[in-house]
Amino acid sequence: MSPPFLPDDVVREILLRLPWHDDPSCLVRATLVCKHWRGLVTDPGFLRRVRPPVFGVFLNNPPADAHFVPAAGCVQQPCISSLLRPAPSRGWFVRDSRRGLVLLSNRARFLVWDPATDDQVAVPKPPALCDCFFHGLLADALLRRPTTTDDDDERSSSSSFRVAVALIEDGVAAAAVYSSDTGAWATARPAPAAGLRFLWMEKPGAVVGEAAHWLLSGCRVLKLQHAGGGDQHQQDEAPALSVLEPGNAPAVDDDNVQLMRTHDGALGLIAMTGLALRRWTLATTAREGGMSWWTPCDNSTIRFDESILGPRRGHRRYPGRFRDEKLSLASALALLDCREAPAWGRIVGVDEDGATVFLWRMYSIFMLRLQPTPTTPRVSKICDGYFVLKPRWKAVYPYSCFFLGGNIVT
Amino acid sequence: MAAPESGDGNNGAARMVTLISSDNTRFEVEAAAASLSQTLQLTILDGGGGGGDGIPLPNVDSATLSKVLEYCIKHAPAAANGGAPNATAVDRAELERFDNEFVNIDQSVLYSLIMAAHNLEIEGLQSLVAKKVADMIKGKSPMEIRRTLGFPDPTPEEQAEMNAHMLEYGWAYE
Repeated sequence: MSPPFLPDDVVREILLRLPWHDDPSCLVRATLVCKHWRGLVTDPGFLRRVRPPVFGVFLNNPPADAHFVPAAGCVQQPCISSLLRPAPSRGWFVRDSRRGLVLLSNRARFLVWDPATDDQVAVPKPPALCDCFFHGLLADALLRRPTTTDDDDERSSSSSFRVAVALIEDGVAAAAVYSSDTGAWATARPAPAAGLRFLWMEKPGAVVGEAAHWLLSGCRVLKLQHAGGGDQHQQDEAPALSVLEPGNAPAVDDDNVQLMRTHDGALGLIAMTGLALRRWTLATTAREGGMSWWTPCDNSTIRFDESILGPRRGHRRYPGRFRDEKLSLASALALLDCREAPAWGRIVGVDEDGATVFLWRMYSIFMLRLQPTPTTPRVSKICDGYFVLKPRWKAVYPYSCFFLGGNIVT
Repeated sequence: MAAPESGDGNNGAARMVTLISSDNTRFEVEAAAASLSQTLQLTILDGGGGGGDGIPLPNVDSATLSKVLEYCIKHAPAAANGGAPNATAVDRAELERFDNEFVNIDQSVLYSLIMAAHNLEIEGLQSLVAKKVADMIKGKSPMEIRRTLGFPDPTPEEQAEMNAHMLEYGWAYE
């Protein structure tokens, strides 16, 4: 029995067990083995079982244009040329990146951009909220319209999207949602809450289901629920704004915390304190009258203890350049003097699945892959001191995709 | 002792079934072990394979079948415990060690196993052999993958097509 005659099911199971999460190029190589394999790998049904890994991050570095920084192990190549010039012109900032789309904004409007096709859709700012943007009170999330569950055209279909914006003025929140289907903004029903404050202006919110979330002070959450599921009601129902007030507030450093979607699709919180990353998920208990609590996740704490760190030394100097080079956790940590700061690094980004975390430290950006084993993340440095992320701009926007069989899969 | 489910009133734990390989060798195994195969499970639940009848397996030769049954007998107790929630770490480590040893075999045997696992629908074994093949080809170039898996040499047409793709996606080789 010769392997080219292995049943397709068997070949698929083999390909799914390749380490594509760490090395996306292994699937690309599989497409080159033979025509038949190429067909199997680029089949939408197969690709749905493969989560595209983080390909790199966008970041704003004013006054320069927005950058794209490829993740370690991802070499630059022709397909990606559009990624290298994300900003159509000066004055555009990346605001968010989800499901292969990127949201940019300038003073006058938004731009939704698909790097895979280089399609750009301009979105005017919502008229009612327009004035406030100049105060910088803007937080936006991008929602790609969830497609029906088992349709084969899920991946190839629509670049239909929504843009959600929220702002807080005098402690009161306002929000609106733009839908590419209607081409119009819908203003949200306001939340009856005052005294609100965004924790982070620049960090993207988390999208869970049909709702966008932004972190407020005190680990509260501003939730913008888009008009609920039923398509026929979509036109009538306005988006609704609410404030989630969990019963507890984990002790976190306001500068070092971010909302995320956990891998099982719940709203989560990730924070760095000292040499540990901690994760919570927002859980609702019935007995407390529906009150929600920040509950530590399984394997909630990813601790960088001293046994990993090795013997403490004085101030170590960076070796020259090691861009695109995979570092072991030990060597990455040994480069840093952990005594000088309360947190090892600052959380600047989390990917859509909460599987990859980006930390900023000493002018460098580190990528931690928490999959497949959260407790022993794989650390790599993706960007090394070529520019300074200004405090106001300490956020990165992970972009996930595959390049397969001539197509970009997001 | 967790008794394996048995469709009839027989003495479940001790119930044996007979499997007959393509070269007419008869194997007698516990029903619980043979039931790891989704294909056999239904037949066994219907009371088949007992006594002198035996279940013929025309696609599996005796060498492969004995290997498959070795796997099934080892994994049957854990499977009977419903994924073994109460298995100790030692048990799991032992199974893992067994699995590693088990697939450390000649490539031709591996292919027979792949086909047998596929035909008999033994989920754990399918996953194990697929992982083994993935380990064999990971990090290799398309040409090396072809050689590793014993593909015939590409036809000039195929070669031209591969070259064209290489030009376009050469970056994937780092």
